[in-house]
Amino acid sequence: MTKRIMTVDDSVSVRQMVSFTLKNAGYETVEASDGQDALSKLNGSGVHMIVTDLNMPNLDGIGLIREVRSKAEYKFIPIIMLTTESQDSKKQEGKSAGATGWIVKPFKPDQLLAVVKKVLG
Amino acid sequence: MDDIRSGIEGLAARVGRLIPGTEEQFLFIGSRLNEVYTEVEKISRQASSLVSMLDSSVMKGTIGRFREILERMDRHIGGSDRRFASGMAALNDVLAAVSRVGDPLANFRKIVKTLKILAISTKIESAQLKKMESDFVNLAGDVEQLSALIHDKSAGIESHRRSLMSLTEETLARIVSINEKSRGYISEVLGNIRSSIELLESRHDLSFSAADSMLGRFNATSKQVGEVVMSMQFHDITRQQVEHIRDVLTSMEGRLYVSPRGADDDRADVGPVTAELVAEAAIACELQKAQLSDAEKKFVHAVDAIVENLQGVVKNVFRILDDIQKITGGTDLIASTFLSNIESGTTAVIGRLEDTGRAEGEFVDAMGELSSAVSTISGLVDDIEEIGEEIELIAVNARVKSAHTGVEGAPLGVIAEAIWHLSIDATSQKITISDLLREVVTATQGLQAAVRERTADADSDSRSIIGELSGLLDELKGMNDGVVGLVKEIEGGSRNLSGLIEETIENISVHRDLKREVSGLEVLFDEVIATARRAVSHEELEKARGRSLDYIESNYTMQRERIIHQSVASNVIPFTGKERGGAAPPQTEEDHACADDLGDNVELF
Repeated sequence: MTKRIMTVDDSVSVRQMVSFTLKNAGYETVEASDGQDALSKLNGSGVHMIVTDLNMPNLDGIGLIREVRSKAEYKFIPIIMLTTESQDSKKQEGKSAGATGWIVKPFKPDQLLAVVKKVLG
Repeated sequence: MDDIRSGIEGLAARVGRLIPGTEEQFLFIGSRLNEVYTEVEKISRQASSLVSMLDSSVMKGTIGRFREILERMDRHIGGSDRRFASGMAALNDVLAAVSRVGDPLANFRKIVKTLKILAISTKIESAQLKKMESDFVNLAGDVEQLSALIHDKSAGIESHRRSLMSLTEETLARIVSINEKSRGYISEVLGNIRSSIELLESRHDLSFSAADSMLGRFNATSKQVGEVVMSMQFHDITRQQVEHIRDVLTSMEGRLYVSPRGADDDRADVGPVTAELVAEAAIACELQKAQLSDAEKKFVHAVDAIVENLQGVVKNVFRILDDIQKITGGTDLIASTFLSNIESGTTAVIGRLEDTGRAEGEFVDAMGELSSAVSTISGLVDDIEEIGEEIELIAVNARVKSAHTGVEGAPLGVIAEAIWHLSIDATSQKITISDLLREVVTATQGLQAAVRERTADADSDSRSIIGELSGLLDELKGMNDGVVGLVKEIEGGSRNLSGLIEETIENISVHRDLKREVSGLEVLFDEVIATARRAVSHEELEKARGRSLDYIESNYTMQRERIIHQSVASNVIPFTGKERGGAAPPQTEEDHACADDLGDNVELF
């Protein structure tokens, strides 16, 4: 079965590149422009993984992770933070909120795919 | 103060407009990247199919079958040569035998001459005897008629013999001509096919190395596409950095806003503009200029990398096309490809084998004609046998008449004796001719049977070779059409890709626009910084630099921004470690965490 991955970022060009990378590797993608948009698109979407930015309007990445983890259905869904932020304190915050991993932008397609493969199995 | 404030206000507004206008071009590049990747994938699949077509067991099998069929053709042509040689030897024997028939026929001419003389002698002797009895008159007439009959018959045989010789010589000449023509041509064509097959084999070997090379190029292309994907993210990275600059400038402009205050201005933090604040504004502008300069460099570098890598994709695709041309034989494939050489050679061989089959059929027919001609001559020989018997009867008759005539008829007895000897001679000549002609008949019939049998076998072999060659030729045509079709598709795809990328690159101006705008902003920054520096002392400035700029630092999201911040705060040239006017400890850009082999920027929890 084809895995479906949600990419959450307020930058259209970043969403475009994440989707480009994942689609060309055979994954389906769902795009959301911020945390709030992601939550509204998540229910019943059959998403297997989330790749989210940290700093976004309305609801940021940490807030999104907390909301997603509060849902029984998505308690264990892999969530990868994809952000320009590289501070350890922020990473710890993400980890505490329930992030599965952290990728500092810019990513190489191979890196993203390797991470996806690793967390999706 | 108003100059500084309005300068910062202007800077904030222009910085705020820097990035939003650039996103459209990035999205355009992104959508084109998708098309480029799709086209590269398509070319990659086509190239793989091409390599599979040329670099597979099918090709090995085809080469093997061609070799096998060439060996069969060699054997077939060898057999054909032997058949022709044997036929020619037999025909030469026939020719010699027919030629030898001429000698006994010449003897018949002597017999005719003698008979004529004997007829005259009989008449003379009868006249001397003055006893021209009707018996002697009849005898003389019989001898005369017999000489005329033998003359006619032997002339008829001679005429047929000459025809037979002529026919045999013609048949020989035709066979020699057919054989030499086919033999020389087929040898040449087979030589060409062998060369083409060797070329095919060398292409097959070459295809392995070219396939490796192609694989490397596709990997390089994937890497180039990956680099574009990476560079594309710098739009977002730059946007964030520029937004942070704008936020700092807006904040600073607000703090410098002192008068006049409107009734609805409820800013509590606004106080008098002090020298301390002006110095802070100068340092903040210096810092934001450095941040902007860095953002601009990263952005321009990223766009340059996008252009460079897209151009690299085109170059790689054309290198792949070169690899393909190495495998297929380049332009030769489409014009007079080695496969076409094999095709035309094979068609020629099939044609020649069919010609040879027809020629061998003609050979059989010629043998039939010879047999028929020999049979006709044999019939004439039977007539001669009857003549011999008649001479014998006349000789007996002459002897009897001579005896009845008594002593006076003694000369006639001599004539009778001579006729008797002639009858013996004629019989002897007739036997010689009959034996020779029987020899010819036997040789001709044997040859005809042998040729018919061997030709039937050869025809069956020839048909089998033609059938296999036709099948192989169809396979080659199919293969050739497939290869040519794929090469054309790849060439077309490469041209499309090249056009697509060139058009995309032509439309990329965002980095030049940004660079120009940032240059203008740097001049404005310098003006504001210079004005502020003039308003405060050097000591105030250095105090401001030394003070904590936490409120600015808290806005950063990137390590790179923090490094630039620290550099400006400590009066160090960013990313060089060199102090402005002195040395400073080296700085690293980022402290990276590393998770497995995923890269320094990846960490899995």
